[in-house]
Amino acid sequence: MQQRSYFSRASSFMRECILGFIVAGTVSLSAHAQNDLTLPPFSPIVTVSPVVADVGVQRTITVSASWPDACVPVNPTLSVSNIPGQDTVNIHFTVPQTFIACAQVVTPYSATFSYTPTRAGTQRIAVLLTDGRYLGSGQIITQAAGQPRASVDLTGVWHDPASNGSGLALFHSQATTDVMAGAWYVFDGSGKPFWYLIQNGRWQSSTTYLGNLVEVQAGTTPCNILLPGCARAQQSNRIAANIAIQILALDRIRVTVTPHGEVTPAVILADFEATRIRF
Amino acid sequence: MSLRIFALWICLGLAALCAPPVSAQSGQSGQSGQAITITVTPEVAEPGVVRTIRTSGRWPVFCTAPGSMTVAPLPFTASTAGLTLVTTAIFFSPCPLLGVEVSLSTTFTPTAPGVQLLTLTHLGQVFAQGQLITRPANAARAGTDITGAWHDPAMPGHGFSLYHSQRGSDVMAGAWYAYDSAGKPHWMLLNNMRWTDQTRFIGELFNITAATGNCTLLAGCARQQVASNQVGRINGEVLGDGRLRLAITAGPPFADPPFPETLVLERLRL
Repeated sequence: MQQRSYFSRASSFMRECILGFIVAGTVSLSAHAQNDLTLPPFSPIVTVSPVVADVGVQRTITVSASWPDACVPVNPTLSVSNIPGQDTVNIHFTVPQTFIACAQVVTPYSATFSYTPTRAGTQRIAVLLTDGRYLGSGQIITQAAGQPRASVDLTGVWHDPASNGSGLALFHSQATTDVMAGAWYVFDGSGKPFWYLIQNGRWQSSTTYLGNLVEVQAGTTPCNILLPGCARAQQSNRIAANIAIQILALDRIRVTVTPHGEVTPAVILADFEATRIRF
Repeated sequence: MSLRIFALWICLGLAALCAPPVSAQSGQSGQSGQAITITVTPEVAEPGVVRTIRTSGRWPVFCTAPGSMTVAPLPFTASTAGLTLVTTAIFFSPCPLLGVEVSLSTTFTPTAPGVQLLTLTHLGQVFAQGQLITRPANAARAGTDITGAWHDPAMPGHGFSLYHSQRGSDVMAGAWYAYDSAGKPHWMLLNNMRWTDQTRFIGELFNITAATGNCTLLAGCARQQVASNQVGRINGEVLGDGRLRLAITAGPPFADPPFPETLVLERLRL
């Protein structure tokens, strides 16, 4: 495990602060698109590169954050938790003890480590101070050979503004089993709401999921006359189509629906990009 | 002196053997493989109310256990960082073989509404996590995040998807995956949902329609909605065992409808 740390010098920091202040109105503090003109938040941003890789592949972990004064945490170290049953990588910083007053300016700090996972799964990365105070966390995703794992948890409601009112509801257990399931809520030919289950899928790579659209059918017991639908057990189901979900970014996916089985010539039934709705 | 250490070792060993088993994964802590839980009393309260934070469970590390616990705030406000429960360490020599049962408490008075992450650390490592929920004065806030796919095991192929930003805005929305009278899949939107206390919420049920159109080779396809109308109301309650009870009332009118449909749902574990 190698360690390299980068701490801003006062002069370069002041330059960044001034520039950051000037452009604050136009530059967003994006966790995934930092540049020299932005300050990271107080809670650390933890990134891992590559995001997903096989066991034994060296990964680069970067921790970036800001501190409320110029006496930023120093001496970062990386260690693996020795708590039984816990699979955590701990990154510790030390807050320097000084009798000299610290300049009261928000100051960025960061650290970079090399780390090589030895087994597949999702490890938590905890960022702490040496006095035990917790700053934040991230995760490192490691896949077994031939068993890809997703790079992003897709749990959420996804919609395409061009077909507002339709969308996907996805549930994804990325941190544990990596299983994903959900529903595609759409409309039938008469304009009535209609839904498909999304299931039977697996990750083909860290960014591509392939599954089935399953059409379910219930019995014909009448519902309450005032409600257009009601709770009922399914009576039958069939695979209506295949669905591919490709991760484009943290909050953006591409959805492609194709016929199930052999269809010649190849037909694409639906192809659109969707954005995750943030509450 | 050696006799006292030996007696302590015996006592700790017996205490560990007699202690009730602790589940490997706590619903309060949300981190796999740990045996320590964090609870807050009262679970949800206004700013200014003194809260008691308690940690309990079997300490998994040999040779040390926490002697006391204090809240150690960070020099900045960050909802994701929250509050750290820092512990002092007691070292045992010789080490108890099975760990020791630990129960510690401290108090903290939040000054602003929101959900703060509570992190218990010991010797610089994270042992458990929980949350401190503070509701705005005169307003309710959820005690549980109900995000998930909810279903009634007696009715496979039917259920609800609920999304809940409990650690942020506390906003909820979702959909009901049901069937029409002909047995065809029919979804309805759950919207305008709000908590009336920490376990109960209300919401409205909408039917959404799109324009007519052709869905090539499929029974349904993505289309823009053209109309929505409220068709009912939802009353929900998070039950003590983690299940969700939903009473769906058709309408209008929405007061005391004649045929409420009540469902008790379980969260689907993937």
